Amino acid sequence: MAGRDPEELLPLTPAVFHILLALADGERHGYGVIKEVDARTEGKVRMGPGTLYGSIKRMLEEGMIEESGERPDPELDDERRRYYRLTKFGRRVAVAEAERLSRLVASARAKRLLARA
Amino acid sequence: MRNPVERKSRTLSSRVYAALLAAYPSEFRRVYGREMALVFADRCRDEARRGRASLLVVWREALSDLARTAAREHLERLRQGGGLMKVLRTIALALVAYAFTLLVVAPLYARNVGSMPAFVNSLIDALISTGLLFNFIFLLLTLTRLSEGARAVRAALVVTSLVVAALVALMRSAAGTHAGVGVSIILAQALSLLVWFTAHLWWVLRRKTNVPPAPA
Repeated sequence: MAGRDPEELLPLTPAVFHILLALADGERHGYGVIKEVDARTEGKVRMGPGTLYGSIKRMLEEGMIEESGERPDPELDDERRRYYRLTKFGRRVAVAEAERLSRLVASARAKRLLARA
Repeated sequence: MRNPVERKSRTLSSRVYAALLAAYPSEFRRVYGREMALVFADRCRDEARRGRASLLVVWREALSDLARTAAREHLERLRQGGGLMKVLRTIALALVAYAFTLLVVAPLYARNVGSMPAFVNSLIDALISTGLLFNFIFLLLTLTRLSEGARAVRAALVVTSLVVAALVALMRSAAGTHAGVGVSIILAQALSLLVWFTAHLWWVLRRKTNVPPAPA
């Protein structure tokens, strides 16, 4: 996976990019990802279980994330949950997508569609 | 905080959602079904604290998510296994066979029914009836993925033969026909089954031989 070009996977779907962002600062289980996205977007992005696990399945296949084991979340009930974390390749994909979006925003600023930062 | 009514409705919601997960492909459900049910239960628990209306919002979101993503997972599974092309080719075969039967064989039969020998009449009649039945069974087996390719053709032959045999036996016992007429009908039906079997088998085997050889 080390030799793969992250640009091949761009542009990412919003769900995949949100999951990458949620996992950027540590591993989480599925509901942990949903809560993080919910909090970060102030409830504007509400990911359903099908969208979440469909994206997770494709991200695992592409090597962007990996499972880091199964254990209970002390904040929730005693059910064991699968945790996920970013791979090095996944982090590179997230960086590449963030740079692509940043270039788009810069273009929008240049066209005076956005106020200058 | 632990209202028993609220708890009951959450438990019921979780059970209904777990049952609805049957809409996903079995492989996807086997890997992610339990986690999805847990996520839904977590969301219900968190939203129920805000009141009943919030639970309705959870359901509205969950149903729209389920409809969209279950369809996508099925499509992806078909695409990955080359199954989508198989299904499309089977539908194409069914449409060609139905069009041929209804637009070519049936009008010819209707125009010349009086002037043709009895055996030809029986043969065309058999080609139409067994053709429609054979094709329908083949299509049903392939679309439900109970059987595919040459196996589906063989299964369609067995089922159609059994139905035809039962109908012929019923007709003979009901009408008390002479043995000669019965043999003519049976021969026509057998020939027609052979024609449809060969045509379907040629179709599915032709697809296999059309696959280009792997590079050396």
